[in-house]
Amino acid sequence: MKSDKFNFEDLKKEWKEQESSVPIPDDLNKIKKAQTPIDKIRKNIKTEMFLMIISVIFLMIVPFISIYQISGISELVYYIVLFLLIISAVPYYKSFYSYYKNTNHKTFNSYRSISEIYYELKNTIRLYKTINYLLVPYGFILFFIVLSKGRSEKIFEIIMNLPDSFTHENYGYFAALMLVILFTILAIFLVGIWVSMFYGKHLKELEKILQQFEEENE
Amino acid sequence: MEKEKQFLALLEKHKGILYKISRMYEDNEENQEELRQEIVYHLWSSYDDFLGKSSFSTWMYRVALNTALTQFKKESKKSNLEVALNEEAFQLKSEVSNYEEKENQLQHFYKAVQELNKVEKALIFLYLEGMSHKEIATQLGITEGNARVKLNRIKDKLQEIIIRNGYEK
Repeated sequence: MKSDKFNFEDLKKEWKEQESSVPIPDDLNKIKKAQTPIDKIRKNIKTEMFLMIISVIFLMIVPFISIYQISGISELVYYIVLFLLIISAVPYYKSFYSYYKNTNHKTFNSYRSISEIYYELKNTIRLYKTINYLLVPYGFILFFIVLSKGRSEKIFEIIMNLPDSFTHENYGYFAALMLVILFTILAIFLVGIWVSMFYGKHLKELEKILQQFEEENE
Repeated sequence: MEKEKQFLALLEKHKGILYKISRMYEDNEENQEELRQEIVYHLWSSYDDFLGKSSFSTWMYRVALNTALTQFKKESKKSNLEVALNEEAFQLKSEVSNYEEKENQLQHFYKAVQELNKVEKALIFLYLEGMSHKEIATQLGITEGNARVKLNRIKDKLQEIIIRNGYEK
């Protein structure tokens, strides 16, 4: 079998003449959009935002539910943490919302388009991690207060009276506190790993394409 | 409604771009169809930005290529199996080849192009569409000189691939 070279000028002619039999949709509303990495992260943040609103509403009324026995210093800590949670989350979701509205870079030249998507994805991942680092501890403190059914008040009193309160009969409370701190650190750590694994791979792919562009410019 | 009709008519006229890009960037029919849908989605969602600013084809090249460049491959076993079957079918076709030379050359090209990276595919696509080095550079956001140098390298790379694949003229 004799091998030969392509004649690109011939190929160009054939390229133009080739049949392009692809169906064109008759209803644009039926077009399914694939989930790009940015779409996935947007969808996740939107779901989380919705859950956050529901959670905040629920958390605001929890102290009024007598079975949770939230009173005294626990109630004060509870509302301070809830307030901090809300004021941390609002700017984050606000910036996400403006980002969500502005990301249509498909009409820029390719290098600019990919660069912008890359940096937006990078920033979104960073923001996503940051907010989770903030919200996870707040969430744990709130749920600790809710689930401890009144015993959290005692723990806060013990913390406020340290080091005098570090006595044998309080060891159980310290153990519970350590457990909450450990779970919080673990949750933060897992969120970081999950975000890097899930979205980091797309960031690497975009980085690879940008490198391919930069090779052209060497 | 009128806008949608106008858009669909333009899309019908330029559907060759959809076909060629999807065939170059995806190696099985299922993924090609998905990429075409994605391109149409982005074209339609940014159609308001386009209106009156440039020719439809210039704008479509840009949106379609940018979509193809940022489309990430699915990691599915089915996809790999289909690729393997497609390759087998392709080889069988080559062996009992009664194909016209035209079909043969394009078939070989589409197979060889799968070995190029995404940016190389974009460059060779725009070249085959008849764009000048300057136009290619503008579309991709690189310099004209680099478009020329890189295009020559890609042509050489394609020649090597097709020789390795046993292309017969």
